[in-house]
Amino acid sequence: MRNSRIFFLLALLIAVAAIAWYISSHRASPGQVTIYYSKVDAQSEIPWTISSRAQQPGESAAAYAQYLALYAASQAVTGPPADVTAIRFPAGTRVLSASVDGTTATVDLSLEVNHPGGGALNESGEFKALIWTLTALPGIDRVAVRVAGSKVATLNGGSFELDEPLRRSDW
Amino acid sequence: MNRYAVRIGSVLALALSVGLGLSAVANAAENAPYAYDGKRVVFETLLHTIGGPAVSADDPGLRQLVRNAGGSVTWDADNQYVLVTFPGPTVISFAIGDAHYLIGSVSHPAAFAPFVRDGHAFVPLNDVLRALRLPAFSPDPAGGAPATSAPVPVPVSTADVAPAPTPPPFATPMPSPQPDQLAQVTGVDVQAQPGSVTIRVGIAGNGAYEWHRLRAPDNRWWIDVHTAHLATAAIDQNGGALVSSVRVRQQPADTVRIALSMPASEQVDVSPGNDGITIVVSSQIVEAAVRGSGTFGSIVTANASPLASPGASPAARYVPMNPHLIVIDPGHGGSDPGAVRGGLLEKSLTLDIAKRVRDILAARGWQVVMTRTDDRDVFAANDSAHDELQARDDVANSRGARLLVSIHVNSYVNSGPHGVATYYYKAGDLTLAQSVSRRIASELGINNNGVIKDKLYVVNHALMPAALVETAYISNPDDFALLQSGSWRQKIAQAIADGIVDYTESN
Repeated sequence: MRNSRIFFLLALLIAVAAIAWYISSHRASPGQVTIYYSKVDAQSEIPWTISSRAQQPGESAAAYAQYLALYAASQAVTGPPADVTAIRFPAGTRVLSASVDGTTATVDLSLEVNHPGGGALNESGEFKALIWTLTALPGIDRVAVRVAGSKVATLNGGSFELDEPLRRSDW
Repeated sequence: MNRYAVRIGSVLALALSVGLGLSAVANAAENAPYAYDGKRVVFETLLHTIGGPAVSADDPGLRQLVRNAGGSVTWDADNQYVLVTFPGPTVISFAIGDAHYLIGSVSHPAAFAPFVRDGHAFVPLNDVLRALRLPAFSPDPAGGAPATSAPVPVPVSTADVAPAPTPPPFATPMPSPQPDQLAQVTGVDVQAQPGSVTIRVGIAGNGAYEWHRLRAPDNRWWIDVHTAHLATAAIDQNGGALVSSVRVRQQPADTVRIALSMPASEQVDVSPGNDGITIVVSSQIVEAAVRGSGTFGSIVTANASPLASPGASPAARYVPMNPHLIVIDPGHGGSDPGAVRGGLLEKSLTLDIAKRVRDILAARGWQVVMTRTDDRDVFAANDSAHDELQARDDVANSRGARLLVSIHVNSYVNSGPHGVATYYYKAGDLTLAQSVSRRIASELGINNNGVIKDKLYVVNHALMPAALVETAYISNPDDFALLQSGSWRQKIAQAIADGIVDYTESN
């Protein structure tokens, strides 16, 4: 009787260990994405790396790509830490949604991005950082920008053109 | 004592000037042979002036020389100018009393101002020869022409004439036009609308035209279509309240002249097209120049199709319908103030600088059209950015302008960034942007951020080479002070205009 208890506990321990091993072996390891910001000359893009979650079990590749796009775009719009001098999106600008279709990512920005009085330097630097960031993700080579769900030709300030998807070669 | 010395000196200088001036026209005309490229002509009306040799536009030797190069000479006594026209088409234009001459629309310093003597116009011979890529005339036998026995009061050498201009447009002499090569002026359609009159001149074929406005109070305009034949009878039409008469006549030297008479001083816009020339008379049009020229016909290459993706192909080359027209775009305006600081509005600054650029270019013989000349939206008040910016591009695109330069004032969220930047986008924009930026760097003591590629709408959607100049940062205290200074705005306008002219001389 006593031997059978010991055997049972040992078997239970082995089962728990096996389950733990199985779960740990199938858990995704943390991923990384590269975020860019523009220096104030709008000519230099500075990369920095942050961690992101990896693709979850059962998560489709499309869903994961969409997650990465939203995550990376949000980080690019938020910008680097406050003590870093960089061209930044207007205060309050948020990423409302991001999606990926083929090689094109579409990012919908909140209305705050349309800050009047911005110049060419602002807009060029802002969108350069965003496009550099998203095109660093696997499979994405261009980015369509929407503002509050709508396609716009330009913003109010510097007349940077937004009605066509942007590529790195646009700079 | 010094004051008297200055006065005496001034009187002596004046007397010397008068003496030299008289000597410029007092010398008897002489026969002077000129040999070049195995050919020989004899100038029968040569005069030696202090600026160099002068020859009459009616001189048989000059006409033979120009004819050998495929061109013709026209002396328009009414309008006081001399045209040397080639079927390229290219026109060399001299105006009496003007010490500059035009090759196309590019102004060059002349050895001296053309003058009239006994009803004949005398032009600087060496400037004509230089434009034809021929050696300068010299009385020295070693200079290419045999010596004459006539006394020469003031020696003439190539060093006496104006500085060498940019490379002339003719690499080789062009053949004389054959009759079937003449453009055919087929008719005129005059449409009067409230506030404007549109005159369409139908022309079959390619060619060049030259227009000239008589100074007030004479309100007549001439548009001369060169290497052209009037295919109809002479035309006389009434153009309504704005235009008293429209007359079309065949002139000598294969020129068809369209003459407009107006009861008041109206502005005229001459636009070329594939099937002729459109002339719009309206008090609303801004046209600062008093003369200009252009080309018409099917000379826009297929690569310049408006549907072509701008900048997509570096090989695509835009050929302007009107190579003498420059469009200047003052950024913002009307309901859109642009950047604002301390009561200073971007839209007002851009308009001021743009007008200065326009005046400088017009004084140098260019046709200049601005997308706006006062505080207004170009498309409509409170319009979309797309409509507004496209309307600005349309001004340049519809006229087949040579280039477009948009003028803005930069702004940033803090006061750090400062200086000028010149933006481009299409492959064909880069050289223009570099030319402007170089002048800004050399003529202004301001931080120059150089040329920057950026997808700015107005630059991207211009069919022609375009650049956008962000003149300074209204958000920076030092730049803000500069923007408030009229003399600084004049300086940057001068630099922009110089950069534009630099570009046109090498492209």
